[in-house]
Amino acid sequence: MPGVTLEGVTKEYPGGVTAVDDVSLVVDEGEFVTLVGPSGCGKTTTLRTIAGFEQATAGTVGIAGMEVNNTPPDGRDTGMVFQDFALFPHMTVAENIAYGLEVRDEDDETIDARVQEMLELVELPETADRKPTQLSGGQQQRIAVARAVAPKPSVLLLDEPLASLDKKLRETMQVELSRIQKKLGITTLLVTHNQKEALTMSDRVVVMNDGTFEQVDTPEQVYSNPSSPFVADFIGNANLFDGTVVETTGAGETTVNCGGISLQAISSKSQQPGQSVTAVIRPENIDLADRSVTTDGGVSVTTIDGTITFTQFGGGQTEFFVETETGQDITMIQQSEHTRLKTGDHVELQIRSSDVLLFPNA
Amino acid sequence: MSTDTTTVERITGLGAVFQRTKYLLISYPALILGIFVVIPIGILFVVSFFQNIEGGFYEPALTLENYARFFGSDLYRGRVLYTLRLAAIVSAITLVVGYPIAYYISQLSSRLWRRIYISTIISTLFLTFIIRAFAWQVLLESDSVVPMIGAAIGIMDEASSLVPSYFALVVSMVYVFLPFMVITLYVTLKNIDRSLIEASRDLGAGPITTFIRVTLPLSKNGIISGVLLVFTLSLGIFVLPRILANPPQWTIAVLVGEQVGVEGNVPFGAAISVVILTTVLIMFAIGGYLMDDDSEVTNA
Repeated sequence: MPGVTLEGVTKEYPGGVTAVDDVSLVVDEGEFVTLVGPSGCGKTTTLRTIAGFEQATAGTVGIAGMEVNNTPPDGRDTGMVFQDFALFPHMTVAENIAYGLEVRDEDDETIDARVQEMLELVELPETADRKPTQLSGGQQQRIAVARAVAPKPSVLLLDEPLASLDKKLRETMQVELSRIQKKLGITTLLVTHNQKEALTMSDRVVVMNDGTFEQVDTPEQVYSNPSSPFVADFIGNANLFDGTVVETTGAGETTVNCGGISLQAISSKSQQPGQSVTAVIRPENIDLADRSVTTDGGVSVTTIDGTITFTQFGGGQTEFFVETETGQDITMIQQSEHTRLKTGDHVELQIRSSDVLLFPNA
Repeated sequence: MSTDTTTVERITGLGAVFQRTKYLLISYPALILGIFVVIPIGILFVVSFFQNIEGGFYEPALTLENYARFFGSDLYRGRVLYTLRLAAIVSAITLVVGYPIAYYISQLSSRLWRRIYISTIISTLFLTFIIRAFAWQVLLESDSVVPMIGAAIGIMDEASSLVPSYFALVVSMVYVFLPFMVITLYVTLKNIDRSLIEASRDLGAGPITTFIRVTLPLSKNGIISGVLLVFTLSLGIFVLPRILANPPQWTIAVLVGEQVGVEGNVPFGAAISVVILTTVLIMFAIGGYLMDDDSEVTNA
């Protein structure tokens, strides 16, 4: 049984703004799916349409196999964690967690036991009698999760729940949320603009742009096999070059002219000479010529000369900004310990044709 | 430490002026409160112990005569109790009538419409009490709108005059004080985080349960503020009872006015005022005790 289904869901606001445009998705029971995209891409609207705070103007929303288009939020079997946590300030932590059970008319014993169980799940049993304001950001976050899952909803909805936490706490809570999700085995939809969160936490990632789903796939696939230059650029870092196909050979080996650079690429789709394309290269797939580049059969290498214009030390890795002789900017990431390069150094970059992704321009 | 003192000693000329200006600025709120609140009320308190002299004069004294007269007389004590009850009734009605209005306006998504509603409500305060009192007098007269409607829908036997009466007094007071209640409640309701309401709905509570368990408790401070405001204003009401009610329905403020204005007995008027003031202070203390810590409600 699917946890959540979206079929051709569209959300149009009065005034003609289309926030979500004909999206479809089936989230399996127990699956953790993340909606990721830049602000204004419609990811939060999609989540709120599932929760019932927004009405889809077209399409069908299903939760646990039931169509819920006309069901109000309180009739939908969802538990939501809000960006600002939305804990009831006039209630204690225990009262907050008990709320969803009380409005379902559970008996006191069941409620007390469940509240205790939830507090232990989020490892904060000592906070039961405190008010939300007496908790730290991370604690409020855990209680918000405990409250959302206490009534045993079939779907957990997380609306940028980590956005208001500092970096260190955010990383701890990523692990914590994953742990709770796995333990409960609850179908989960997370909305975030943080691509790292999307990659580390989810079973599948939905990359959203402009109200549509650009790509729905596993984190590995979204990263290594992006469906468009947008996905490649949004998930991880990417060098994007506009170019024109010069020639293709039978094995998919393609030569692309990118503003003077003759780039060797392997394209799964056959490209016609003269076709305008975008070439995408991950910064970590760019090598320095002084180290031997291993080439498998059929893989050729493009060599580019350039000068380092800027370096950014990032701990284990260092990012180098290189200006090529043809005047283009390329970003390269190297392990810090392996390089002693500095600004102004002349470098020879090598790119394997198998590391170049080609996307035909419309 | 020693360098600090030498620095202070060395400041002269313009520096010294700034030094003193600083204290002037810091003391500004205390100064205003002192001049316009503490001193006048202090004078009122002192005068309430003065000796009245027939013919509109009084002399400094330390007599409890004025208080003895007040607490010894059924008339004045009764008037105070009557006024407190009237203030309570008016506060309760404005709360019941005002809450839905404030709630409705706070829920409007259009900022323009919220402003139109609030401006309209505030605009009734542009007119003076006297004009509004006479307006109600006209509306409640026997051949006027309200009695005619009353007769037409059958809640009155015939279109008889409703003024002067206790009814006219309560209606006009509710009308006059409603804006204060609505604005106070509106501010509180507007500040309730929408996501709290959504969280309640998401957890399975319907709109009514959500209102009772989330919206209402979170508007508690607004309710207490609104009630205290209307209650205090009601205690001081003077013009409306004179125009719209009969002498038995006059409030304590009217009696104070008579003592001072007609009888010329300033010390007795002051003593009654001190009693009313004390009542108000007790009300505020109770209200303050019942209120939630503001930081607890808004910062979460």
